[in-house]
Amino acid sequence: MTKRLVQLAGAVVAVAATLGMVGLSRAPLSAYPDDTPVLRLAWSARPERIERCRTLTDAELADVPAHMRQRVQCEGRSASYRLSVSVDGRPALDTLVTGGGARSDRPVYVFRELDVPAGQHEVVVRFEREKISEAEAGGSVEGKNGGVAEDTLMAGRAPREAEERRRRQGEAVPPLMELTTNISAAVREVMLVTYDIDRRALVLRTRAPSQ
Amino acid sequence: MPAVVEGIERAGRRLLGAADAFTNRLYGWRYNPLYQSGTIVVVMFLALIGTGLWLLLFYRVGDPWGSVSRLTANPWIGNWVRGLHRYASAGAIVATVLHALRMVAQHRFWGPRALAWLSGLVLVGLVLILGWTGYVMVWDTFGQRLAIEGARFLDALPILSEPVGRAFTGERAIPGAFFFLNLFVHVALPLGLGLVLWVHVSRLARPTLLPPKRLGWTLVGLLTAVAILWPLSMEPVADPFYRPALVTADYFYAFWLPFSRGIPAAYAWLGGGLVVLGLLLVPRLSRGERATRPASEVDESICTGCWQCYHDCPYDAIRMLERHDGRADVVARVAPDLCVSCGICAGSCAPMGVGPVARTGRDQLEEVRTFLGSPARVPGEVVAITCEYGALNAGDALRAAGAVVYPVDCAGNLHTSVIELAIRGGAGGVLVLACPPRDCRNREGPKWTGERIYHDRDAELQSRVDRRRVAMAYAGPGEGREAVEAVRALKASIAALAVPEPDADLDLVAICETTAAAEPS
Ligand code: HEM
Ligand code: SF4
Ligand code: SF4
Repeated sequence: MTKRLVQLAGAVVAVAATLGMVGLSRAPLSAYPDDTPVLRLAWSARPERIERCRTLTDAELADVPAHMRQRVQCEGRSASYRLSVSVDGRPALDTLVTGGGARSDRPVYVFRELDVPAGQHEVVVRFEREKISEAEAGGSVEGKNGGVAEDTLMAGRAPREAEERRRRQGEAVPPLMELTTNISAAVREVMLVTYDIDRRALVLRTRAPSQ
Repeated sequence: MPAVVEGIERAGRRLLGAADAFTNRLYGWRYNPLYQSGTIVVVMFLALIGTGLWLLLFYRVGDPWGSVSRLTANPWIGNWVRGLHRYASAGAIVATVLHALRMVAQHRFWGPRALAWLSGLVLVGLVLILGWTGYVMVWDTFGQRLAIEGARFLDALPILSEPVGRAFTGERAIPGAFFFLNLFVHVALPLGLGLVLWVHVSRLARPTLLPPKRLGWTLVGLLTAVAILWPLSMEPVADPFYRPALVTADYFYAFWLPFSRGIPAAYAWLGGGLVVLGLLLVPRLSRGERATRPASEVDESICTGCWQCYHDCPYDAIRMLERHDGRADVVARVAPDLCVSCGICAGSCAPMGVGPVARTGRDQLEEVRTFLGSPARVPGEVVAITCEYGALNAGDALRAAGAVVYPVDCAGNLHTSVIELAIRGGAGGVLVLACPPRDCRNREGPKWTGERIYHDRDAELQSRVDRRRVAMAYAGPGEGREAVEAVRALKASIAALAVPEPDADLDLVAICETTAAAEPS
């Protein structure tokens, strides 16, 4: 081969190799091979506390280190929830979800994706606190101040604690939420059922129609 | 060593041998990009840093896709810079794979080289994460796909209290903090990369970090030209409510996606983990190598303290220590934990006082004497000294061309007295067939041997040797044709010379001593 020819071949090979590499850096790749529409259930919510509370006496309180003193002491656990979905009356999901963390006291994260055939469907999503026993259910604290005189060193504490417990209960997800909705599932579309914290209810969200 | 590694080594040698031979013919060994793969990765990094800093000026965490989209629409200062940034990252992966393949094919991963092997794996990991975050930055459908898959992996680990995947479900807009964190990782990782690269080459004397300028600029120029002539386009913005069939992807950074996509995250971790573990264990599984490749040793009774081995060792494994026996000021000492047993020092030492057991200059002379003593020797024949990894592959072709093949471990180990002895023993010519310099598995073998033969580097070929009878040529494992041509050329040039008379009395010790005496001490 003459020198010219070698140079030409060298240039051709270099360009071809570069184009090959560049081509592979911007090539179509199958992202979701399955085109079935998806019903996505995704939300997080604070589980309800199921607890029994008891008012400590002054003597009991005095035994507790100062920075840990709480007039009303509660013991209990976070509720778990039954999540069920039916599509056109047929059950599609039925599962128990609990809060995150070792003691299940962190928020409940729901993330499920269910395939639904393309077309019109009636979907029912239920999120319901599981049954609690009679024994667990009680536990309100009697009396305005938990039956304790207001003149002790814990004066005013009990109402504040009660308020705090109420607030926490208010943040918790309602004991029952149910969403019944008609969807029209298009190929490759994702329909999201999520928890709307302002409306305290499950809602359906889909792709903005303009897109 | 496990059979799998050996199999990959053999296959890699064959593949690279053929590819190297082809590219050498096109570009010559000096500019062969395949030999320069490690340094090309560095060039790609530099191109990435340059273009990346520029792109950073225009990127907005508050509007990722929008800002990249505006940049892409600008043909002058946006599009091609983005293109070059993307293609250089692809180039970095291609070059890294070639570089790693060469290290495997040349068996360069055990002993003191394990540090380079392990840090090399860390470099690959960092580069892949860097690419991942880079594509997520764009927040198009490809970036979203990578992010969702990444979140799936992360959420399978019990480390995060809140699942990352929640960010991409469509419940709410993606928090700006996510894009900020992603950008932070993308910008911070190159610093880590620089640090690991420093560790990567820390065991090497005179590491070569850049290719010849012409090659480096040609590659960057080629990528720039493609970036200009084949402009990038913008992919659709990420959409949590749609699952596209196809995304325009970078296969160099998303090659794993088709494998991981369909399987539970735990299996993906398991599969990936096993691959990484296997790679990490390669040096450990090769620990037995030391038995056959012992560290070099210095014979202190011979060492004249000339510093030559210290200068030549490609792995900085030789220390010069003070000496108190009146023979010289200093004496060489090999640090066994740094010595890769390359044997280069054996060729560096004029008095033949250093080298791995059985491969010192003295051992080499013994060997050549046995060779010359064989009844098969014919005065006037051409002796081709071939590197085991390189030209020895063309042994049959060399013999067919009329040369006697004399294999050595590495042409860089060769003590020049071997050449002298062969000629005094009756060889008509000696051809040293070394691997092309950038292909040397001992890094600097051909360079030093060439200098010893042609430029009087210490432990030089003595001036009394008839230079017309000596030649050196480069031939890689796939370059049988080149090797045979070199034999023919040497044969032609010695044809006119008289057939030499073999030296009747080849006194090994005398040769050693005359060589040593010729050295200033
Ligand atoms: C990703 C970025 C990488 C870069 C920029 C890089 C760059 C380099 C450079 C510049 C050298 C010095 C070459 C010389 O002067 O002789 C080197 C040596 C080396 N590299 Fe890499 N490398 C990378 C990845 C890897 C990988 C993935 C492996 C293998 C798993 C690897 C294995 C090695 C080994 C074993 C050596 C030392 C070889 C020796 O001289 O014995 N490198 N690398
Ligand atoms: S064999 Fe010699 S040159 Fe090679 S690493 Fe060991 S001491 Fe250095
Ligand atoms: S080359 Fe030989 S003589 Fe010189 S310092 Fe090294 S061992 Fe000693």
